[in-house]
Amino acid sequence: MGGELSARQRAASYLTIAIVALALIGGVLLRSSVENATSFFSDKVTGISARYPAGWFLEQGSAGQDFVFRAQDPASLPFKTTLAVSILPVGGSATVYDVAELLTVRRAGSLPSFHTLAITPITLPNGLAATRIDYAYAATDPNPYLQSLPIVVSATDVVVLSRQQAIIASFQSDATTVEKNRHYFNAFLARLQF
Amino acid sequence: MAGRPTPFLLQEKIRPILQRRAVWRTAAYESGALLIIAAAIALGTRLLHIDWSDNQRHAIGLVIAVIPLALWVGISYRAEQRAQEARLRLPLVLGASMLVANAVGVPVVDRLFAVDAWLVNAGGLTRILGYSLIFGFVTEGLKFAVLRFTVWPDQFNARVDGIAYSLAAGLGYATMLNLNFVITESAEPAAIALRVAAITLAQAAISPVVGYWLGEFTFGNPAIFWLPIGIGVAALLQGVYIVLRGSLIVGAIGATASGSQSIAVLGLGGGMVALIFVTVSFLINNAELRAQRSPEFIR
Repeated sequence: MGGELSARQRAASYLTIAIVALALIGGVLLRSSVENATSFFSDKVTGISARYPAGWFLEQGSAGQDFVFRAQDPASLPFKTTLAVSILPVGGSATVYDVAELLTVRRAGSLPSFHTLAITPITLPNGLAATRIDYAYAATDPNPYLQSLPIVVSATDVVVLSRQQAIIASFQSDATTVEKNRHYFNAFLARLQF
Repeated sequence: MAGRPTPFLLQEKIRPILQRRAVWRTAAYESGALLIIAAAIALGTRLLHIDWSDNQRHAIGLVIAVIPLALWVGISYRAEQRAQEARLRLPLVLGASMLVANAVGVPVVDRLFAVDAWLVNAGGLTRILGYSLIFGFVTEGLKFAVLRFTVWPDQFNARVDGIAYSLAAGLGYATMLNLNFVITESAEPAAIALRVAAITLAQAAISPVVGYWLGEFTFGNPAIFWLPIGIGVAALLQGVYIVLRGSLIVGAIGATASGSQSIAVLGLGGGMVALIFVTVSFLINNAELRAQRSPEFIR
């Protein structure tokens, strides 16, 4: 409909299509690099180091808080996707199932509508044996004046026993987007050192 | 002294039938009118403090979203119909551009690449690169495809035809972006007016870049890489504009600011239109002069 092209116009058109295609491939690569960009965190006291998604808010645990550090995605609304690491001292004879049971009891008391979904043994990327606990709870806004429905949070804890302490790597996400966000946790676990 | 009117006076009184529509002038009128209307809506609704329901917002939003189209019909298209050599396929280009924007552009940018989900927190340069590579190249590539399959090169009789048709393609694309924004977001009329003006002015400003190169490839003899470079420049301008517009809006929110940078957002759009219109019209005039001085033209 636009008419016949001269050889020069045709060549320029093909080159343009190629450049647009290359730009889109560049867009895919950029997306991958932005989504997988990480920042480094290291805690000298506990010897834990990890890489978390760049741009997430990092909070280091202090006295009274049950985590060594946690990173939250400021852009995920209404519930901030969270990666966290906590440490629990355990006895020499304790198993990961004891820790799982303890965590379940603690969380059932502190998280509304808490439900354990599955407890499964897994192997971490570094070859260590671990236990994965999948659970869900309802997150409510602490501000009672905000009229909002509770959010169903889907979460995963991975528990590893190391030198009489349990290292617990946690992942929490809005249940509607949990599978989309799970790659953050997988990458986090792959680079977690303790 | 009441004699017969001189031909000069007659010429003044009778509106001349232009051979071709003055594309730059009508486009500038449309942009100016859109700026004034957007500023008036933004100012008026803020002064009136009306609580709109969701349905009212959507209804008002739909009306605001098609204001640029109405201005184009009232100013450019009407002038086009009065011209002796009217560009007959302008509505076709506009409609095709709307279709590809809705069928390909918006789904690719918003859903396939989901740029707003991962790019908003990135650094400034990364955002410019990301919006250029994805939004810019998709938008400019699709507008180029529309022009290629509807008017280029058969319907080009002068370099400025590239501008007229590319502006129509840009307006069609912008109209669909505007409608998409209004339908998916429930924003205040003031915010809608600013957004519609910002989107439309950006497309109006950047579209002539590709239009210029299509004109050059019809009447000039540029190297083949200039067309993809033109698309690349236009895509980069799209990316820069989105990031600048975003920084103006975000930069306005603070302890001492109201969150309203409407004048700056409109100024950015208007400034970009003025700058690119002047630059491209200078380049076209220059190319025409060079063509007239060439030995082939003199012969």
